[in-house]
Amino acid sequence: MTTANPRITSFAHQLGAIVQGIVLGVLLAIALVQLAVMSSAAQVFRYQGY
Amino acid sequence: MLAMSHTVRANDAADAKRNSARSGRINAFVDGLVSASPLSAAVMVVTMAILLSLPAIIITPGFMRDHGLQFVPDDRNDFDAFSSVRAMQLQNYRGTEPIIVIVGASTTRDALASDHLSAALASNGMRSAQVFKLTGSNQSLWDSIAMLDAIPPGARGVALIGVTPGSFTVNPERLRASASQGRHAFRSHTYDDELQRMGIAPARRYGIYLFDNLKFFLARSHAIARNIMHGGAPPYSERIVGRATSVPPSRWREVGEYLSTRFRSYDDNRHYGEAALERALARLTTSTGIIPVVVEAPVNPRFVTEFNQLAVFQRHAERMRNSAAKHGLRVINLNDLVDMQAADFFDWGHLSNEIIVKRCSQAVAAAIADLLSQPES
Repeated sequence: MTTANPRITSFAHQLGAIVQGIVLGVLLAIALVQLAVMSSAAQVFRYQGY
Repeated sequence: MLAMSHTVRANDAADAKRNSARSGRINAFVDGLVSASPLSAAVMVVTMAILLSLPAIIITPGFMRDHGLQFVPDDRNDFDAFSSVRAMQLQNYRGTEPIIVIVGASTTRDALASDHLSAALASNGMRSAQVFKLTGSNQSLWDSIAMLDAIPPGARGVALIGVTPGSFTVNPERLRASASQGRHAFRSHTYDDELQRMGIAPARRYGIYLFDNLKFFLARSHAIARNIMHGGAPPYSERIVGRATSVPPSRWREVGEYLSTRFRSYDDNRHYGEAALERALARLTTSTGIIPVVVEAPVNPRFVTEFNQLAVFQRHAERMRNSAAKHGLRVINLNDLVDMQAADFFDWGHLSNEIIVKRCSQAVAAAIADLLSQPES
């Protein structure tokens, strides 16, 4: 028998959705930066001896 | 006994109720965590937008001036990062003391040391002169011009412009390749103008510092993340770090042949560099109190003889002398002023003998001391 307060249960569900959004947002931001690095072919100029 | 049994049963029921409630909350949380929902999608977009826009708000020219050296360098030989940050500090320089600005490629970088130069200047009575060393690996004349563009209008002092015959072998194709690398952490209108003169479209400007210099930062995104997590960056260095005492014979031949080929294009391409340098010198003398001095960087005498480069080096030295005489400028040829042997270099043109580095700095200090002691006009 579940006796949880529906308001708290709903809040927990929303909290889960928010955490999911934050994690996915961080991962997506990292992926976009990585994509930008790869597509721009940006690299630090290395000393080549001349 | 009966009362006690009732109390135990009541406690058990309360515990079961609490556990059930907790389990319900956890289940709801997990359900929210793993289910797709408009809320999670909205939070994802907002989080991503914040994370992508936050750097554009935080990373500004002022931030780079104050924290750039602890933030962006990839390693101890990331001279583009070091010189960019120093150039941005120079842009903001408002001191009254004379300044020494050094630009040029790696042979100039490894021949002139700020500490030796400051000490030599101090012994010539110029204790307060500040040195801004803005040299870099394979820094083209155009990169040097971008660095010189950082000199604020009110500044006075001397700009040491390091050159070699290689500086004048750059053609539009090579410059386009160099410009596409995003090697500076700042934008220079003069550099962009010079690119356009060579038929090269400069990178787009957005009016937001980070986006205007995006390639520079993207190239260092991993280094920046590492520096933030470690709480510091590789320490500042102004000369190459980690080199061997001398290059192996195979590398010596490889680099020698590459440079010989490149120097063969000197006569075909020198007009590009000469014209750009002439314009840069004119800008310096008209818009700042800086006196430009051309410094001929050292070259290993063994390279010159072994790869038959004497003619091009002599021709180049003569052109520099004539050009300087025409514009009333001074040329310092370190190869004439300092006795350098093959053993003083670790390859074709990079000095490894600290005593010679000190002598080069002293020779330059002696040659410019009178320019620095001139009263402010």
